[in-house]
Amino acid sequence: MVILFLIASLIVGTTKNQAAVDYDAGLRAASHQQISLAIEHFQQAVQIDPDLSDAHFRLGLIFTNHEQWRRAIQSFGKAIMADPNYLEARYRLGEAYLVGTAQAVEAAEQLKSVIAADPNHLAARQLLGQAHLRLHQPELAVAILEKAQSADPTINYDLGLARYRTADLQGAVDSFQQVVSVQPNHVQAHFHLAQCYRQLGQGQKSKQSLHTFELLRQQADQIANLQQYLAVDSSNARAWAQLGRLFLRQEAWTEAISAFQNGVTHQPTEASFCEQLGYAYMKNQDYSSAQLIFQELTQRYPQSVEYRNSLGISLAMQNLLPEAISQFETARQLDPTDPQIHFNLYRFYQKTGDRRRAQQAFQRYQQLQ
Amino acid sequence: MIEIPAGTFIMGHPSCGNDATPVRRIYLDTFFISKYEITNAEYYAFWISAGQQSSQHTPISYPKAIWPQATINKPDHPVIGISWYSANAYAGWAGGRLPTEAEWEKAARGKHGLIWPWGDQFNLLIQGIETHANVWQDNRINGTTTVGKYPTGDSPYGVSDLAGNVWEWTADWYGEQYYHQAKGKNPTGPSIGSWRTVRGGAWLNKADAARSSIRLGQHPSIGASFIGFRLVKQAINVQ
Repeated sequence: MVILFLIASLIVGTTKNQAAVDYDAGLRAASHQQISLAIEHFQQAVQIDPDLSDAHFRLGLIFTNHEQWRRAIQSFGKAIMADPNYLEARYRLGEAYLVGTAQAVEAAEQLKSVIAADPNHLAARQLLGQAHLRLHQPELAVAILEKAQSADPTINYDLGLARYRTADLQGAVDSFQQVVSVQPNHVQAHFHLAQCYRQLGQGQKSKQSLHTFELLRQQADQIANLQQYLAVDSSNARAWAQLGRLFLRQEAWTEAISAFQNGVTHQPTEASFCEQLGYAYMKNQDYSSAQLIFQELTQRYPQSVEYRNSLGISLAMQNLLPEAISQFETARQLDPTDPQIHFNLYRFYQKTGDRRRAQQAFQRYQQLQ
Repeated sequence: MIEIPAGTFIMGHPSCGNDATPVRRIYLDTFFISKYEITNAEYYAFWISAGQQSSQHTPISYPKAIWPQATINKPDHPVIGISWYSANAYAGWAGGRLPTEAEWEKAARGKHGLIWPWGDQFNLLIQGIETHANVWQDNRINGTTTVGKYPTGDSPYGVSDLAGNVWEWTADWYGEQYYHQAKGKNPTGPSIGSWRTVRGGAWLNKADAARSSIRLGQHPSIGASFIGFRLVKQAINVQ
């Protein structure tokens, strides 16, 4: 009897080990983006050991990423069955119900459990707020989202909508204002602000918000049209540059850089594209890349004050002050009447501790103002 | 054990993901941390006392690391295939505990916020050597190596293998937003979570994953072939 028990334990131990090995292989495959292989290993693991909650969870994540919602729901459900305390699995199950299959009631149930266990789970709060809005329960949405107390624009946007639907117009304005303070180009937030102001009888503010909304929507349409055009003809450098400028206006620096890079690739001799690319790098605080761009431009156009000034700034922002000052001095010689150059010299001579030269530069700046 | 003296350090880095920000200066009391990851040989003694093969603390056997043969074939490799619970149990048995994330990161980065334990460049030339950690390299067989194989990769405090080889369990629950709420003195992680944080990168990762501020959550109930741990002991306050 004892021997049978020991043999049975050994078999169970061996199979559990095999499940763990498969799980490990799944993790390694996933870390190297070998998704099909990862699925295979995780599925083998849970076939051997159905209680391997994290293997179920990992499958659920993969299915979520591929928008296979029913399979995701199944997997997360099994993860929770194996480990009822697996909060992230509950959160993801709630997300799959809400986003994937529009089952708001089921989503709310899971998300409430998550928040009960972890009141600081912001993502669960936000989703639960959205679930309540879907279920036409705006008061509950407000209650849930207000406790999030976050600067996250997406949470504030949902809170704004919830407050609007409870007729708390001033509260809605506060929320949408928070959104646009972090994301000035949030199109919908400006529209809802216009609505709220109109209903509050603040006509001027409503007009301003509506104007901003229309401007942003126009830009969004232009961007969409250009992107469609470039999908067909990606060699049009001017179109890329135009797209880049639109992204600059929206302060979408990374997208602007990408667009200008494409413009420069297709028309490398066009200085304005390079210049705008350099400017986008500066805005994105990538000063070393900006330096390379402006170095090339100053070599091509050694008499350009503007390019030397930009090169100087990119060097200064990397704390390469002597090199920066050298560029500003050259720019000053090219155009002694440009006040900005003297101001830059003042700033950076001060930083290097050369007070005499800093003072001279500041006096000249003041004279030219 | 290596002493990490009391004081502040820079925790987090903007290039290491949203969960590693905001970057803050954190104060920690003095503590001691093991110079190396816990090895197969060291874990073996605990495993014997825990009940050997029938114990819940038996490491998972992998094709290249079969337990307990690994204690003979690879005694000085970090023990792998142990859950957070087993690592925690070992720590208690050995009179210590797992490091908090803050303790781990301070031991790795020193007072001046280095990106990797040895400096801000992965291939920094140190004593004529460019490779300072066991991370993934194409065209070779990758896996764990003996602890202390890369002495030029030691942190400013002299702690080894904090980058690469194996990810290391910490005591903390993983919280994506935790740095926004963490206290400024001796933080110990969120009060609840689904995963425990692992740090340091491993043999199957490229260099970037081995940066000292990178954080990853891993389910605590099961080990992996690329997760190990090390210990911390608190300093004794002499009055």
